[in-house]
Amino acid sequence: MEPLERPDLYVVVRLLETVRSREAPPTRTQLQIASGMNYSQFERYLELTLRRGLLKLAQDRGGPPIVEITPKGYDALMFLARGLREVVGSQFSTPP
Amino acid sequence: MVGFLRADAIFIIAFGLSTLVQSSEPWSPANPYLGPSWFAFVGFVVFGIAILAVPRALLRRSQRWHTRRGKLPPLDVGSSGPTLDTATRVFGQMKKEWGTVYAMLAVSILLLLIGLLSVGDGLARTAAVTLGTGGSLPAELWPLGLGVGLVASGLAVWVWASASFNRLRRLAPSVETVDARFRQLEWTFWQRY
Repeated sequence: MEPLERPDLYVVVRLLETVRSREAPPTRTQLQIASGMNYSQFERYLELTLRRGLLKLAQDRGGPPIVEITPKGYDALMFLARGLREVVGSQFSTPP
Repeated sequence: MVGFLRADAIFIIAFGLSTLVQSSEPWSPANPYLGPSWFAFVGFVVFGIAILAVPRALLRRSQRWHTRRGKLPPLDVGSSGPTLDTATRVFGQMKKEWGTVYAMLAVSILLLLIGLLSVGDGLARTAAVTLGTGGSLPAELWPLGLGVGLVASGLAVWVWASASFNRLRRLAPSVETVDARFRQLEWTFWQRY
């Protein structure tokens, strides 16, 4: 599987946010479905976020591995929320 | 906006049709010569159809943008900040609006140019009739009428596009500015994480 040449920031944040917002940590398959990506794209982005330490895989009592957000991943998510507010938030009112 | 463009296209096609009706030399097997009115008819109908295609192209482009960005489910980042989808929508909307305004400015310039050429042609024909070297006056007036109509139409589009341009410039930074800020954010993110 080829690594991503230019990862889309929106997709990365979407993955992080999907993991963060769920009550129970999702499995890989659950995360793929929830994030709305096809398998090969999902695998690339998951590999990227795991390599960067934003997400981690954990074992769930004999079940399939689950995906968890790391403190670094949570920090990255908040960094982007603040950044986006600075980029567009102060310039526009919320569109309908 | 799309409705305005379509109305403009119909107006131009109608002018093309009116030149056909006014044609002093209608095409027939006995008279196969295509007079200037026939050329005007074909030209303006084609031009009108081309303008009709503009809103379609703009809509398709906008749909592509939104499909690329918007096909994933809604997402909320943080409790107080704008959602990612809000940012995406604003960014997409801005791109679409700037694109429309630039396209309209180009259309208005085209209309003004063709209109002025037609007015010039009409004045020359009128002068020729006045000097007694041309045909009859009613038959030679159509380029003048066509030109005045096109210039008025071009001015109307120009006024609309200028007003939209000024509004966008006042309300929001240009797409390039937001794009540059976003790229800066992206660069910082990948450096940091």
